[in-house]
Amino acid sequence: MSAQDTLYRLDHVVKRYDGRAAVSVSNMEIHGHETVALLGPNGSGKTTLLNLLAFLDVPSGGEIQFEGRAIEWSEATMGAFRRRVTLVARPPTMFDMSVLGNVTYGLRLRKVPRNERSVRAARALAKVGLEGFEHRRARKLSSGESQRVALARALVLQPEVLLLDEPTSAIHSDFVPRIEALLADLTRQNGTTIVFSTLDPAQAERVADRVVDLRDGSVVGD
Amino acid sequence: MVRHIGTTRFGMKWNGPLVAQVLLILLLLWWQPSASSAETVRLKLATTTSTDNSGLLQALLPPFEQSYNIKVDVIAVGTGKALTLGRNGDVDVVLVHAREAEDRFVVEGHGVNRRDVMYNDFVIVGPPNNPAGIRGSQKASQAFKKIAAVQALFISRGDDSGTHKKELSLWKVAEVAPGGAWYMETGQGMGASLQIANEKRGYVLADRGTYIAYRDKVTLEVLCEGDPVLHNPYGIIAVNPVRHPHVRYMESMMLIAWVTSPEGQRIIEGFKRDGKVLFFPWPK
Amino acid sequence: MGYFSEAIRRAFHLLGTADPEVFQIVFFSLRVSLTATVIACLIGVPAGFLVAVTEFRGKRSMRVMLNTLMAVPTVVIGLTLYAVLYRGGLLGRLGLLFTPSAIMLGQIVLASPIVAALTVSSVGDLELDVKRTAMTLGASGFQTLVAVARESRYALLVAFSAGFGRVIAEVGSAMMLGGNIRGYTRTMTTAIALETGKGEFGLGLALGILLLLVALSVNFLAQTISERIGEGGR
Repeated sequence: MSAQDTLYRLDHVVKRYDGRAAVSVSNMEIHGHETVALLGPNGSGKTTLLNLLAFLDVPSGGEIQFEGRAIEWSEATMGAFRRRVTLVARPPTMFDMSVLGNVTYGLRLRKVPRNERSVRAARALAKVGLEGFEHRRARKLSSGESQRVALARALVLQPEVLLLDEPTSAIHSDFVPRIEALLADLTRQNGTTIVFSTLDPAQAERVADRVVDLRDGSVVGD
Repeated sequence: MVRHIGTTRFGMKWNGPLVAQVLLILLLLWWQPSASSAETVRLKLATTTSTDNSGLLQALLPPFEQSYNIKVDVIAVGTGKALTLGRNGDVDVVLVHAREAEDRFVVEGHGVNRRDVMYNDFVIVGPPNNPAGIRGSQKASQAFKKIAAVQALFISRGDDSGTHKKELSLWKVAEVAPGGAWYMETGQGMGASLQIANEKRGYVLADRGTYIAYRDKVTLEVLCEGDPVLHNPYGIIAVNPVRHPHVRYMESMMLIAWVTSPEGQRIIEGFKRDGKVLFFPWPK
Repeated sequence: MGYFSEAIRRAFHLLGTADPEVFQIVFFSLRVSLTATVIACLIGVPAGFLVAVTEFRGKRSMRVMLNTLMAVPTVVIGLTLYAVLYRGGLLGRLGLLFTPSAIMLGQIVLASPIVAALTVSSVGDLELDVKRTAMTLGASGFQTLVAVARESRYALLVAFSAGFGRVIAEVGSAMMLGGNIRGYTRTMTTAIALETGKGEFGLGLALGILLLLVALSVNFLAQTISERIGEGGR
């Protein structure tokens, strides 16, 4: 493990829905270039926490620091951070268009020229084992296939931080090792910071540098 | 993103898309689909539906519009509404046929420079079998009395129009308070009322012009006419510019001058429908 | 039966001879109603979206109110706006009564609740997920709106058609606010009302047939456009 700067620092962060705290973390840090697993049963707050880290939701209380600076939760700053942090949700939402359209969506937003888009998309689809799927209708895929498309869609953007919500939950066990290897490659080759949630302690141990146990919205031992 | 208001602050951000939207809406609203050039003045004339339906204005107004470069917007509504539009200053000039109401309009200061324009007459029409036996009655009020006596079906405009007011005055002279199953108030225009009277084979008081226009659509016949009380004069009044400074007073006066001029009167006299004269110029 | 055959005959005649007065009325009606519906969508869709995704205290009453507004008789809308626009009204000094703008205003008021209500009912969790997915992939506020609009294009099409249908076919408001002025504020529907009032049922029906043809064409075009938008993903 190389020298890591603290990328995220969560200080007494709480997220409430209808009065109930879905997440309550008094102290948590995520360091650059590391791979962290959020391990916990359903309802333990994994998804909520990931959404906060993805700058898709605003905490009800507490402070999140990113790169050492406290975040002001305005659209402008959050929008800027979202371009560096990508979340692969579960179940993933497919746009009503082709697989290629989905995978290149983020590239089109970033004005990447068409040729480069197709090349990068093809490479990403190959990495997740979906070569040749470009022209299939994304909404007609199986859940395993759409999860892989969602992954390709994120990979193609080469984000600094990649967040994944149970990335292999729908994927056939034959493919799982390939996906796990993919994540390992990402950190090794690109230095991507990865935070993923899982129900499987073995997977957490296998893939992550560090495991954070979550129960009922809080970190165990917090 | 689910935003919670009431718990956290809900801020409406003045961002790009919102600004673009508002600008687009303003742009579309301000673009008025209209054909008129900026030069031409638009004069708003409120008149009755029967006047408009007769087609007279389509003969009378174009020469005026051409000569004076004024576009006359004709708003045809019931007499009551026409006068209300004048009272509120929503139009510049009114042309109606309800003398009492017109006089009140002027006395109350809503209108100025009332002029007589033309006249036609009312007739009492009814089914060919004439159950009340009013054919050839000399006095209209007598005819009304007979209708009430046998409770023959009578169709009333019931809409506060000039025709309706005339009808009510006749009932008063006949000393009858109309009402009951035989007296039907349509609340509609002359044409609609004629058609209803036709379907139900009832009597109705109509202005001759509209009756002539509907002659081929109804089997009703003229059963009483000529009584001087059935005289139906038309008056034109300019909306008072002191009350409503924005009205086009000058242009209204030009229109009034035109319709009462020999040329205007000639057009009125010459206007025929199905070979019949509908309006008579005002005798000088 | 006589009226129907006369109506069909007259409809063909009007189309065939390209009667200028009728065509002026048709194009005027189209311009006003299309513009009004577009504006109603610009107002109603974001409003509907906001109501759908935001949690607030009066949310349920808001939904009920929107649905109720859809059922307000057009003449009542006309009357209400009339009271605002006439010389003695709040906006009287703008002199908007009996102008095309007044008709357009009435139609915007008529169509917006429909568009909003349909948007509310069609914006489900899927649209929310679409929004979050677009955002996490780096979309700005405007780009997210485009993504959501594209995903819900069929629902938007229905909202647009419903709004357009309501306003192209209404007569109560157009009559009250426009005054049915020949060559200036006469729409297809006020013209039909006029002809019917004159007893010209055949002509009224003929105009009605034309109105249906116009509405058909607009909806056909809208359907085609929304299908084309769907192919935007590459």
